Amino acid sequence: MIRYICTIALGLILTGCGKTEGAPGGGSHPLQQEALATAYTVRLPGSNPEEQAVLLTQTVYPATREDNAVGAIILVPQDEKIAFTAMNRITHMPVNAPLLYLSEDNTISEQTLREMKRLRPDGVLQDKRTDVYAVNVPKDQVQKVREVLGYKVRTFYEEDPVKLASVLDMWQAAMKADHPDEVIISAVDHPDGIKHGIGPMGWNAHMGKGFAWVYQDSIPQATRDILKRRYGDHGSFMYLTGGPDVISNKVAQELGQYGLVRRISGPNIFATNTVNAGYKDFGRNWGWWWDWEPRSFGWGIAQAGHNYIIGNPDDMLSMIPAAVLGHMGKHGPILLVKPDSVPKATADYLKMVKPFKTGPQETILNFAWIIGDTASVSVATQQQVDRLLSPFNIPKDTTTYLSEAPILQEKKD
Amino acid sequence: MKWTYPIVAFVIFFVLGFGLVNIIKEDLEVAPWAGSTAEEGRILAHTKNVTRLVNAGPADLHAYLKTAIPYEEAQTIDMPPSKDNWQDFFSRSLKVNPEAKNVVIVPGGSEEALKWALPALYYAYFYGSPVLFYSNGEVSMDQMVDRNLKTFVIGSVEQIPQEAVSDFEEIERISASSPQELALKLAEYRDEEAEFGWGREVDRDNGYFHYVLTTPDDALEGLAAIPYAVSNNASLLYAEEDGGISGGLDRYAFAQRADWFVTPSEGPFRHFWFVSNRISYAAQGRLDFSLEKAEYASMGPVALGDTEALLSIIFIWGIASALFVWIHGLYLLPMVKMPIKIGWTLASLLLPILGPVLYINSYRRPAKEVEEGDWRWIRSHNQQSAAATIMGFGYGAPLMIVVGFILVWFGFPIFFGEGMEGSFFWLGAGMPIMMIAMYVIAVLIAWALVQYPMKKSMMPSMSSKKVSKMAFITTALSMLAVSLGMMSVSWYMLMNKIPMMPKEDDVLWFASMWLASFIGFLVAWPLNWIFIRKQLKPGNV
Repeated sequence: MIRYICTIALGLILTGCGKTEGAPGGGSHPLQQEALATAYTVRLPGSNPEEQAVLLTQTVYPATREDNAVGAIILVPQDEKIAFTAMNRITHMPVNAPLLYLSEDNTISEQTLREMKRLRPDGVLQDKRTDVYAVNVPKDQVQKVREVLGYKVRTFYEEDPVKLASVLDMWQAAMKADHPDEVIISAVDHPDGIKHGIGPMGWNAHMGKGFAWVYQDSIPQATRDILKRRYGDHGSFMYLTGGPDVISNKVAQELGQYGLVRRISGPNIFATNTVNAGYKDFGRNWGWWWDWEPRSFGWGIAQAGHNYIIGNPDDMLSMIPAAVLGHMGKHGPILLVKPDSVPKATADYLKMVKPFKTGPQETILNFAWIIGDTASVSVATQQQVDRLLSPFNIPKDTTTYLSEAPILQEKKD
Repeated sequence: MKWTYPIVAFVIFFVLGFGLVNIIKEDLEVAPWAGSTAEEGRILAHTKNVTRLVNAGPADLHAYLKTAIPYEEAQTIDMPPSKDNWQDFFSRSLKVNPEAKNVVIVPGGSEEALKWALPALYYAYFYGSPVLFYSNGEVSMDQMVDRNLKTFVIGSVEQIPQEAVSDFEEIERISASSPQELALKLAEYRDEEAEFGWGREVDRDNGYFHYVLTTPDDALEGLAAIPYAVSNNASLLYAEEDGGISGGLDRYAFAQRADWFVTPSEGPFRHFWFVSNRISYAAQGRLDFSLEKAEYASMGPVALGDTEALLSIIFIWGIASALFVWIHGLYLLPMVKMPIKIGWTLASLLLPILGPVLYINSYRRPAKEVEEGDWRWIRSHNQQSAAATIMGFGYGAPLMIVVGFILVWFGFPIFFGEGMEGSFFWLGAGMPIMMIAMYVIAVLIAWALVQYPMKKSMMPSMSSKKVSKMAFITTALSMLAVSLGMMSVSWYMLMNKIPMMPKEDDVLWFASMWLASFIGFLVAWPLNWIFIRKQLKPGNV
């Protein structure tokens, strides 16, 4: 009898294991031809934010088993400030959530709904197994997710991104029983506030630290509340994204009452993001007799052997969800380029981290994701990035490398 | 015997057993969702650790890579490879290293030979090894090749006979039963002196290894992708013809999973380039997952890290200890009452080695039957304390783990908002709530279903109210002491030591609880010394 039970149990387990053989995986995928790959770059060619977000989730989460599916999904309207705030605070573990967008008419498109179904969230154990974090999503759309997909949804309704940051800060603290003392601070009312902050936001998607907004010349009450919640030996450790032209020195000085203030900034948005990629701040945070917890903020990448997420600053809605590539896979910071060229600051940084030829057992390589279609980042720019990432010498004239051959799979179709 | 003891024991074994079986089930799963919705609606084929070069054949792929990988060092000739010219294609594309320390001989001529030759051709292309082909009963002639160099013959004696290579000074033959196995062998093989082989074994922790994956039937596509051998130092591996991957490749890919110590942004990372359209999405999902970086402490499902292995040993010993105590007690100690045996068994489950040692020490001493069927053992004060601790701990600690597991399974409730802010915001946090719930629920169950009936049976003359009060106080205090050790260690393990808090399907969650319980017992033992002294608990049953 026991033998039969054991045989049946073993059979059930083995049949539940699944297998890897199956239909050819190189089947028809509508955007595969545009997903250009070079030796060191792969393009994720979204033509609009909604599509770009879906491409990102499909790249990061194969969803063939629980462990490579998502913990949860962030759903937001196509609002830069709201999406930026959500990506800053929700994505990282233990939530493990990519971001998807509502359509421009604030409804969930069929494509996004299907992708939500494909992703099969495991649910966040620290938050009642929540499957979806819906930020400012209309109630009828939330109901749609509950009814169609049967997912557990936690909603946040706060139109003011400054206050939303505070709400998410309280929620995160409840999940982790802690307020992270490192806080990234961006300017909500500066036209380039998000562009300067996109790189540091990538660090938050990667490491799950704090986030708050300020105005160029003042500190909102919600941000003061966030900062007061920190209990490090010196309160908070604040990282302002951008120079005094983005967040004034007056604000920086005033923030000093809540802890230590640092700036991650360069003369332009490209430089700020390269500074961020190389930035590292470490040292004391808090300690007591027996234990101590240092602060450790920033990628601090100044050598070869890393991954980058590269895109166009004029397309922030597509770049914001791309931070999920810094959360899983090869990880790595966000850098910005122009559609038809690699700006000097970005090129100089990539030259600094250029790898060199090595042996077969200690190989060092760089890698990059190109975010957006060829209108957003041209093929020539992708190829220029590839040269910069390669261990080979960079020719002065790279135009000879422009593709003359038909794109891959064109003949097949 | 009261019915409550076996019921409590059953619940404990059922829940913990379910949890452990669930871990095994999820670790054995390959790609269970691949056939359902995982591929539906995908608009591109790439995933984060796998790039698919979907192509219309070797010529298409060759043309694409001529521009995608334009580096002179990696470039092949303009002529695309075909089943008729593959040998010529390779020979004319190869840039021989004038200082090469090895020569490679591979099967040549037929398309079948390419399947066997390709893995070695990748290394030769990367390194610049002179390559000779064996076909039509002879090795191709090349006057430039130094026959005194160490020569690597790829394939069996049936493919390349020994006499065909007899005029080479030093020969090393590398063969396998299939092209797939040969590719894996070459990926791991390394001759340092002759500088041959990729040498990418499980302990090469620092290399950024790339792999081109094709099937033997699509070996030509693999050959067209040979620029990756130079540009990305990519070795060639084979999937199966049915689109799946072999157990050998699965094992190798998981051995290539990189770990991180500080943040996952540190190197290295590894990558697959698929050039055969016939490789399935399930295989892609599996390989993408196998290469996903993991923290050192927890190598995630399927893979087993050092820390996981070490901690797993604790609870494997625990299971063995519990089995020993249960079987021993059942057959050799009939005078010990069943609730006591269950208590010792449950305690031994959480106290590997120590549990059986204390058990043997407690029952190898002289015993006396004080009433019919009621035996007492003569023990030292310390030993009595240990036995008394076991009676509380044996039921209480596993109950706490059971409550914890159920909470983790269904998710922690959390409470936050303006009203929850301030110094006590953490009371709304999941982990403290879990700890409080573990203690309170476990105390209530242990008191009502175990400690009260146990004390009542030992002190029948005492009033129920008094027994109940005494049982509650001793249970609450004893488990408070257990909790002090258990909760602090579980907090340290789950919230501090392991960077990503393990979930209920992670071996580290259980292992952390086992370790925490062990420490909890050590903390509770001295407290029970006082209970024995004040005669609040019996220690000689």
